[in-house]
Amino acid sequence: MSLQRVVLDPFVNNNPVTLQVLGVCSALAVTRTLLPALIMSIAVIAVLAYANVSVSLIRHIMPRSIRIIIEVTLIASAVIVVDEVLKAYAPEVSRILSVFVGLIITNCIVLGRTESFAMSNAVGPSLLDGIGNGVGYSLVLVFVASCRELLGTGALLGYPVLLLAADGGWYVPNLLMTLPASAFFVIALLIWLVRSWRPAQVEVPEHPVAPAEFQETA
Amino acid sequence: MRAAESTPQTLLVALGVVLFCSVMVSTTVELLRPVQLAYKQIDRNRVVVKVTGLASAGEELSDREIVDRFRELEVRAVDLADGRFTDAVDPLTYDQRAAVENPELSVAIESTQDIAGLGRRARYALVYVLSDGQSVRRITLPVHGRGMWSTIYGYVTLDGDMTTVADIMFFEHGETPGIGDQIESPAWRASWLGKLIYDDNGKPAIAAAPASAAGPAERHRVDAIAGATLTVNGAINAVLYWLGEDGFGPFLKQLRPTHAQAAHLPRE
Amino acid sequence: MESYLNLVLKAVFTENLALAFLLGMCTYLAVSKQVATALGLGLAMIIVETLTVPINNLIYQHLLSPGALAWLGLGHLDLTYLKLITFIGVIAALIQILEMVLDQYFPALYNTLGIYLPLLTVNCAILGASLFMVQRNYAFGESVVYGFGAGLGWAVAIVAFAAIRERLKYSDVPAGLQGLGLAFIVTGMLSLGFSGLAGVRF
Repeated sequence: MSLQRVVLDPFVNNNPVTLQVLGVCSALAVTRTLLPALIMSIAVIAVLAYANVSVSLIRHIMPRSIRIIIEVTLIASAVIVVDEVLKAYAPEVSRILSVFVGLIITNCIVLGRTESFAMSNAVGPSLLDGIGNGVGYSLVLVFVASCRELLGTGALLGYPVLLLAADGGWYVPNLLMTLPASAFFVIALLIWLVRSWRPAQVEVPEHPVAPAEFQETA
Repeated sequence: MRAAESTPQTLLVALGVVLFCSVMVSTTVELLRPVQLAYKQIDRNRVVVKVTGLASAGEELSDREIVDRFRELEVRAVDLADGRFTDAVDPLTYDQRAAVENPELSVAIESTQDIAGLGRRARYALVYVLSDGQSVRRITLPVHGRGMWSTIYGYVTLDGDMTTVADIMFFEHGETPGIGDQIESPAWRASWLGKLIYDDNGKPAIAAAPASAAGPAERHRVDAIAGATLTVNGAINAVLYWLGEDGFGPFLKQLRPTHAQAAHLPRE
Repeated sequence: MESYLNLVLKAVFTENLALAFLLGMCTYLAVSKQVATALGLGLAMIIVETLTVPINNLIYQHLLSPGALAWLGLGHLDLTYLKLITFIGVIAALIQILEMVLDQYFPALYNTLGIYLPLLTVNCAILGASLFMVQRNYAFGESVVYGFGAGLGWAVAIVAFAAIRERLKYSDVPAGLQGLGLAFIVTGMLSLGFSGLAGVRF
């Protein structure tokens, strides 16, 4: 695989969220507005890149029996550092993200990439793979957060975009977008969009609908 | 990949990784702690400076300005049981939220009194006094109580008569975004301004109702928020509890005779 | 302190880890094609949550929280930043031990639950519950109740979801929504339903 593919594939063709169903957990809750989602994205990219590089560095001396716990330790300490930095320099956002920064540890993408890529590849490609997957994940996060903030509050990053009816404009905010449930709907639509664009990603139904000539007429 | 399975090597690698990680983590934490503490302090004072009226509406203050303006306030600890100022705790370091967890610094609230759903409250509370030499111009009191999802924290600032709301701010909560979080909105805040906390009998009497509704007298009425009844009631109950007999009631009663303007006094 | 019953109700319905905080989604989406497996996973979740949250609570209160090490003469230490790594360690170790104990003494139970346990090590709902416990300052008793409630809530969510999915596989779905897309939409609707219970209290 060329280095370019390593970075670019996870954006759409092999996106960790919409195709591999990884890492959906810790992040959707932070997509109500765009700013926390952006910060979360940066945090995840940083942790992914760091974890991939450090695991790749010690992959030759890594004892098989304790490799998972070593990976988790490396990831967890990186997450602690990120969490502390946020608390010091972006306390407002850190309060919104609350426990979800900590939950990057259990984000399946991170452990998944170290296990499946960094353990068997050199440092350079591992770094690129980490960044690529991080960005692929961030694209989903930012897309969902933009939809939710724009439709739910009429603003983006806190700046008004759609004039609110309450302020004399025309837009009545869709409060559904501020509820957790809307994150699911937006992702579902995103998946639909991606799969209409790349039909190869469509899942085969377990029980296909019979062709018309076999259907019973009711 | 080369197998690396011998016990000594396993231990060695584990030890190395753990050492590296612990050094990295503890160094970061030690380096960043002063920054975090300073920010926490300023962040908390920022709300106080705003709610006491030391900053005009919409004014963005730098950290430096916050520190400067906060100095104009006198921070005192109050013993809620007798309503007197106390030196039992140091206002600089006292943390009311932590005190609730400490059996020596807190008391259980009787369930009939507990309209704010707190269970326990601290014995001592901090108040922020703005005075012009002799008399108290404004006083800011911390309040908190259960909303729909979370505990709502806020400050109420009263005028010198100890009953007129000069300002109010609910600065921390986990209420429904877009609905319950309107308790932070300027519009809802404005509906409190100038309202009287106490009725003619000296009981806290604030209630929420739509502007047109027949119900509470206009001077005790704040806006209702459609769809956020539980949150609004939580916020109001927090004020009713903390300004009532079990909260700052006795303290405010003592301040009132000497500093209040008779015209605004509910019982005279 | 809230009444324990309210705490359970809140953890199961209004603050459901899966549907209100979107935690544990990977496992939730992956292991919910059949009710029987969902039930097994849900059960494992309840057990693991009920054990890890109180254990982490004890560790946090007596080792990590500010001033907790006063008995060692180290009262000035504030080790709260170590909670992430400690909790994940405790969870991983506990699940491993649980697996061994079940294998040794309750083989029947091990055969039903055993395969799900490793899945839960990196499940964010487990770590999440412990972090919420710290954030909300639960005392030990509350943490037991909360752990149980959080696990039960997640189990209820995944069983309900699996039941719906079993029916859905016979329906005619737009190609792009087949599988994952539809799963997200159904979860969203479940989440809406659960948020309708907000404010229910005893």
